[in-house]
Amino acid sequence: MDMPKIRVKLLAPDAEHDSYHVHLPTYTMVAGSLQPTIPDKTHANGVYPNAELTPAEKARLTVEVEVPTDECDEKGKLDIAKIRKKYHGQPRWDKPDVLSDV
Amino acid sequence: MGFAPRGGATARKEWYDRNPAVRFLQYSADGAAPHTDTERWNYTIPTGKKAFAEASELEIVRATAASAAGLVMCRVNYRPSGGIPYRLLTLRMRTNGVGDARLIQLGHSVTLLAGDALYGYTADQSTGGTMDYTETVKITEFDA
Repeated sequence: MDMPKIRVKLLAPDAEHDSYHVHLPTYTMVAGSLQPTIPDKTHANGVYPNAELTPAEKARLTVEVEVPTDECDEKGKLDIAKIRKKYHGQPRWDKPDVLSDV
Repeated sequence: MGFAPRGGATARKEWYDRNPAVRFLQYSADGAAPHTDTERWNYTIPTGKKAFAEASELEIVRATAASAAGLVMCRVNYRPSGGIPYRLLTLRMRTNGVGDARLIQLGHSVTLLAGDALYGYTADQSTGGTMDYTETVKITEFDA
């Protein structure tokens, strides 16, 4: 299946997630796509163990991901309406701000 | 006395005949440096669908030696709709020989309902060195 590739935020662990993650219902991370590389803190495939990133550094982290075609518009960008319809009634994804952390 | 025919015009189709769609969740990285726990893929069952996770392969291989080997992990979690995540498959390795490997190849049938999700993760707590990762789950999704 040919899936659109987009660059999105890589989110730091939080109350709900104990790992770095992407806030999308379905995606696959592209290996080697993490940006930016911060010496001794991040590299192309992740954040070094025990690295202490500042809030500003965490906010800059992005990765490339593949997402399902039926969650994107004709230009290959994420489509809120399509995502909400596909996951209709699911509290985590059927909400107006579903892409606010993406 | 007669027997009622099996099925009939209103019989429900088998799951594999209800608009089945194959989904592959796959993360593959060679020569990855140590990293803290990172989600590599995620798959949520759409509303109105169900799915079977039918096969999985997880593999980790040490590509270059670490100066201090730590725990290397590759795992798949399952999160039921509205619930908390549970660990489904896990590979762990603490050895430091180049070519050291761990592998799971599994055929199975995990039933997934709308809102359930699968997640793939990797982590390497070593200092230095690199690892190769493959993390794949094959799913068939169909109309509920």
